[in-house]
Amino acid sequence: MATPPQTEKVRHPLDVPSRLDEFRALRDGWADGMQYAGDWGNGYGKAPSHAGLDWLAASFTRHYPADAPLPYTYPTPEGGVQMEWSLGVQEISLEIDLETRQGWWHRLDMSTTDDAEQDLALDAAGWQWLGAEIIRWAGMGKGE
Amino acid sequence: MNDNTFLYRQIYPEFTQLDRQDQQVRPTSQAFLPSASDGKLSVYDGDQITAEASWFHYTDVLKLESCGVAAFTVLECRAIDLPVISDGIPYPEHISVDFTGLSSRSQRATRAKQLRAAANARGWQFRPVVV
Repeated sequence: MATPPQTEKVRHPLDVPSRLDEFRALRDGWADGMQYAGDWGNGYGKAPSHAGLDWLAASFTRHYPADAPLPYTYPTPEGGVQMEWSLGVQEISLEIDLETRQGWWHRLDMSTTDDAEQDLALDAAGWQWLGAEIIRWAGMGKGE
Repeated sequence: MNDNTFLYRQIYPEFTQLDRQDQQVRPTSQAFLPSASDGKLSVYDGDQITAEASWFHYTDVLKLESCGVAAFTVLECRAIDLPVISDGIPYPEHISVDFTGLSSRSQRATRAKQLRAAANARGWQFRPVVV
């Protein structure tokens, strides 16, 4: 197997800071068509703030456990970011408000439809709680 | 429209992420969640239009962006207590999936994840060829 050149940074397929960088190109109205049909063509979706994306990239890099599965990352029409993990039968999402730096966690067990939710302050303690949950459910998904 | 009717949902490009490891394009559950102010999801009636034709209508006629068409069925909606209303507005094939009876954020998020799972299990119904 060829060794990548040392000058080339090898990124994980779900590299979060790189994904967040992509959202800087979004402009207000970016999600037109995702709202109900009666409002199509009028614009929908607020652009995320660049300062908020900077904070999230730095906070995630600093606090999210290196051994935890990485999330899929998407912008939200409210100008925030949503992270999602599919861990076995657990569908987990974290909706992040970039202004308040608060998150809303939701976990759904697809096999039973039992779910759980939690409001989170995304400070060191919040990320620590989230990281532990992700590692816990990732382990359960592997039958550990 | 009957229980087995496919309901086609257009997926906005930013609501997908390519996993470069397995090359699968994964839509977010948000693509199956109506806005808080509307409470209803717009889809196309699969008995009246094909997935491909719905994509062309959405992108060429309505000039909106879609990177592909996902599908779930009427029965899959009703099984999770989401009413399906064939209203034909603003175009004849328009159907509304009604989330307004759900009182909590977690109930709405759960239904969106269930619809995404149904669509994912079925696979993309149409994806434009990028040249």
